Amino acid sequence: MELLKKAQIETLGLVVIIIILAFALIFALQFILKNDSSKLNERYLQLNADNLRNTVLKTTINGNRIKDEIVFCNNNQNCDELNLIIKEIIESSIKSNYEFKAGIIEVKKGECSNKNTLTSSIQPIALTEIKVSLKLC
Amino acid sequence: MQETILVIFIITIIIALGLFAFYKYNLNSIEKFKLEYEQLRAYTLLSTLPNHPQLQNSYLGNPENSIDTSKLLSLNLNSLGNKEIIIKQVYPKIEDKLCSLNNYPNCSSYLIYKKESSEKNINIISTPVSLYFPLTKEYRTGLLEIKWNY
Repeated sequence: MELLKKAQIETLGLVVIIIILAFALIFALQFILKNDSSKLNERYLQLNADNLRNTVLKTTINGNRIKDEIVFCNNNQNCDELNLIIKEIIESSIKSNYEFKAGIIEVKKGECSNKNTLTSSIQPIALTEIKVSLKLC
Repeated sequence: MQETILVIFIITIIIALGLFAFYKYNLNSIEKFKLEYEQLRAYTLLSTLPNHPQLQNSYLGNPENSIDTSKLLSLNLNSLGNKEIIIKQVYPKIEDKLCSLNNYPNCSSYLIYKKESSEKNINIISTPVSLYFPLTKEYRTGLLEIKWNY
């Protein structure tokens, strides 16, 4: 009878240990399976970079699209006015630092070199060697 | 016998405390998950809405990767949850006015969806979009802005 009681108490101890282990495992699993929200921010920045590059190229100034103005100014080597317009468009759309490049045109705000950056996919302008890219950081 | 009862009592208290802590933790996790889910829905909407047939500009049936502003005046979107969706013209800059059939295209913002909720915290996300004006056949720069409550 004495032996049976001892066995019952030991079994109870084991049950307690298993319950504690189960709790610990459930807590641990929640940390292990936690999603990384930085991926979402990365995709958001990528979406903004691609959309902004497309939007800039499509915008109409003086009856022409900026895409055509870029080709024209790259041929004439005079892009001062266009630089200012592109800068105004980008800075009224986003608040982060950026680097926009299209041939001899280079517009930027802040420095992107030592930070986490995201570049839009590089878009070539048809029938030219000009490649347009926008880096956000 | 008394010792056994004492041990069982203490263990029961420990388990009850554990259960309470676990319940609280789970409740927080569910709240956090709800926030992340709403955030994901808003980001998904932000990336897909410009391609919605009711908004998108097309030429000879081909999508033009821009928003037709004339479509925004009589838009009827539904089932997007508790959100406010606004499209604002940012370049060229013009006077800040909400667009209607009377003042189009001399206006700057289009309220395309609004459903208010009682939640107080507001999150705002936005992305640049190209706006097409069929009357003048020109493209301007805009921002698609989604405000959602949580």
